[in-house]
Amino acid sequence: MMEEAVQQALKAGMDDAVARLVTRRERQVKFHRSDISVIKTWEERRLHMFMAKDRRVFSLVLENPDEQDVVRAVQQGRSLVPVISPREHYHGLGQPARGYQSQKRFDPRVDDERRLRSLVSRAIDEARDYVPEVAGVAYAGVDEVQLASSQGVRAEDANSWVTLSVRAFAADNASGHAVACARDTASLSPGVGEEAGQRAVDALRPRPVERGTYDVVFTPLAFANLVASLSRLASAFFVDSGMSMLAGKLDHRVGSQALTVTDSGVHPEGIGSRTFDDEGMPTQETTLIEKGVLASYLHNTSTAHRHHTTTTGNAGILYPTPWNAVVAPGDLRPEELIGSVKRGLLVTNMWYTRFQNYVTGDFSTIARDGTFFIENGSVQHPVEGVRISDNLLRIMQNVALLSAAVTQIAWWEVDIPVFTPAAMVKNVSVTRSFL
Amino acid sequence: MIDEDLASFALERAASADFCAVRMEEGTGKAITLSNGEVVGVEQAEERGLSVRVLVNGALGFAATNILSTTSVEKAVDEALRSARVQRRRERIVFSQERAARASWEVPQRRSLPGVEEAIAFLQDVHRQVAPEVASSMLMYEDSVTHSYFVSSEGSGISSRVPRLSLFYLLTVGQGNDTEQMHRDFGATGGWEQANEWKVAETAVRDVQVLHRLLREGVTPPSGRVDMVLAPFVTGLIAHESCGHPFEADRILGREAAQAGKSFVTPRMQGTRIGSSEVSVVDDPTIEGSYGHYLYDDEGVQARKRYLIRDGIISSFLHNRETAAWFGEQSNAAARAAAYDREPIVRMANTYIQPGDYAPEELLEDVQRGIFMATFMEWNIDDRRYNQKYVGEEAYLIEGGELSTMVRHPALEISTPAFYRAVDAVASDFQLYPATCGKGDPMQGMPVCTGGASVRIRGVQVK
Repeated sequence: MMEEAVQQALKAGMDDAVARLVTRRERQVKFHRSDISVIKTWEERRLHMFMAKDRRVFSLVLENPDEQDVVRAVQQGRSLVPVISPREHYHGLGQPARGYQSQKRFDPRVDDERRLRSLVSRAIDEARDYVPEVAGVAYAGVDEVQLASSQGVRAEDANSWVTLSVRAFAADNASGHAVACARDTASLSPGVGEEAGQRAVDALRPRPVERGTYDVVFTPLAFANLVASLSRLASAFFVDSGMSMLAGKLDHRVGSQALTVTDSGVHPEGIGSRTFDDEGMPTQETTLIEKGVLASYLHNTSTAHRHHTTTTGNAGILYPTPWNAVVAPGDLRPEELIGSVKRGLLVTNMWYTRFQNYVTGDFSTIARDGTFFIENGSVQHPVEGVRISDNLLRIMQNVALLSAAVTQIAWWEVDIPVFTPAAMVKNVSVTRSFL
Repeated sequence: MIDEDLASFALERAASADFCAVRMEEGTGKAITLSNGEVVGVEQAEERGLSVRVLVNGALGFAATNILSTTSVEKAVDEALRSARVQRRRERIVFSQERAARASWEVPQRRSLPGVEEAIAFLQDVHRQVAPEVASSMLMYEDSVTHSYFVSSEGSGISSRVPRLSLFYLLTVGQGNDTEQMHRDFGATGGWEQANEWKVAETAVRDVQVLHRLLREGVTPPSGRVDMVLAPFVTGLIAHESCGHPFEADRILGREAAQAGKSFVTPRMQGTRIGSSEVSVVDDPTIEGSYGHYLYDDEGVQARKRYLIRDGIISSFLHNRETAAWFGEQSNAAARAAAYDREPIVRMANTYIQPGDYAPEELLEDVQRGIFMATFMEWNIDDRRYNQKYVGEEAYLIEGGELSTMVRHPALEISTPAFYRAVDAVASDFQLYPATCGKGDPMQGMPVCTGGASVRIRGVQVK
């Protein structure tokens, strides 16, 4: 069907066409109050068609199409394209110069219901050893992708993923959160329930935080939130649209010497990994920030042409997108990060990151779950009400130390998978609400 | 055309369930993005599929598919049943008893939704009017028409047709690090006639002028205790974030605890005072033409207006059938699903601060030194909906009861009870603003409105 769809589009006079069929099945076990809330399953098949003629760009998503639907889609494209204004910066589709390389893990049985439910039961039991209340979610799924393009690409891919997110409550204002993500069940880190439960107990009886400037140790779960925002804004689309603080900063310092960030579509463990992008171009590793200096944006063929470079294999044909963000590790143990702090905070999770201005990077975000005051290198007591009100570039420039251990993070709040160590950031501005 | 026989087939297949609901949807939508005047692309999508939700032995199962063959639907039903049966819950889920509904409803349109050419021309006109004065502009138009069919084992059968349209812009003025940005959403249910009422270009031109003035004249806001007057653009967000969300009964019961979080509100707080007697907050899905409009929720319960706070007292929570049963109440029709393949969960519709008796200018007259916040950019709130922050974009100093110079980024960081306690006057003005509310796992972006009246709050700390 893919080949036929592309041929139909070319016959209809299109210059470029891509047909991408995604067949996906997924299962979710959601739980709260230490009990399963619901089990859900999905089975879906969608065709994503892309067509362009004279730089007029059109895309269409069809639900479980048959051949007649494809004919109809192409006719629709043909009738609509003339009324679409040309996109000056559209420069066609890529043609792979090399073969696909993929060593990513794949587990076709990852969504087995019993295995997923048992994963959840174990996590609840682990956490319940510490706390009275546990909530969370586990997902497991498999997709198969077939792609054909007018550049002669014929490609297939298959992906699997499993994620477990557990939040434990020792009290309404004392919680701990931990996640695990992998491409196959066997690779999933154990002990997620225990980690969440232990942290929740540690967070009991928090004291109000004082506004001020702190050195902050972010656990991987917390730091991933900021890295995901940064990597999304590395998309050349956001840069060109004036919606990114990274605009105009290529080859300039945007982070500290300690900070190196890559995007990887080929990470063997990354749940965002894929063999090819939406143009059919091979995915790759792309260094975004090298020792603090902005090295590249994320590109498809069109944005790469505009920036006089080559695609990084991150199409979205309309909007380049990150696959997995990877922060290079440091060489310290997490305890050593805490040990380096004279007066600061340990932040274990964050949510609700919102920008006042995407160009400057001014933003705030809220610490949730266990947050702790550090003094003279050791954790003193939990605190509550912490809001980080700062600037994303300033935070990246103040990254001082990184741990050696790296964790893959993806959950409800972090939708771009991030491999990251824990980070110690100097001089972070912290505010809180007036009561 | 929705294949209603297929829904009946699914319902019959699930006959062994204590309760079963089948939802089918069929629709089309389009999105057009303009970046700095350039059409990035035109995206169209169709939506067509079925989901089945069953309650078996006090446990919930849900399955969705867009493969609309009897074989695939059979498989989905069997998966849903099995998903429910394998659970061994300690506490049985029960649904409130509700009257079965047989209905067909649709949102009227005086003008059909625009074609691609007309929508592009509309966006380009807005861009042209602001282009000379902005560093960058992003505009996005979206519309959809969704046909839905809901059928349940209790005898409900509801079909609907809802056209919905929206427009978003983000404008940037200034250069380098000395920039200001403003975003706005416009949206409605109905036809293209709604867009005439949005006055997008006029609003965008004014926003750009305001941002330039802010760059030229904006001063550091006063800090310490001041009085504030907040316009509906801001009060609506506050009503949504610090009243609507914590009053969602599923949050109160912890069902979203690992995602959007819980609530500082407990079941026992119903009937207790949370704010001054000036404050009433309403959530109402029945407002025709509004972005959050519906007449039946996605559990087949007839929509109604709900007082969340009435004269400062916590009046009611937002319920679906599961939470209503837990509270020993009836559902108030807050169960919504963003698509056929999403589970209906408790959601807001149009949440607003009910207008009071003061003329808007009267709110200013009595303020010797304070801040008027007309719009915001940055905001957030903790996951118990207690500790929140709103950073003004268009904001002014109030001196001697009148607006004076613009102030740059005043930050109101306040707890929820402190905010509602501090309200001493509510104006008679009323404005709704469309928004997309995020909740659910998988995420369900839900069309809602926020808004209501301007309010004055006394003696609050700002920075």
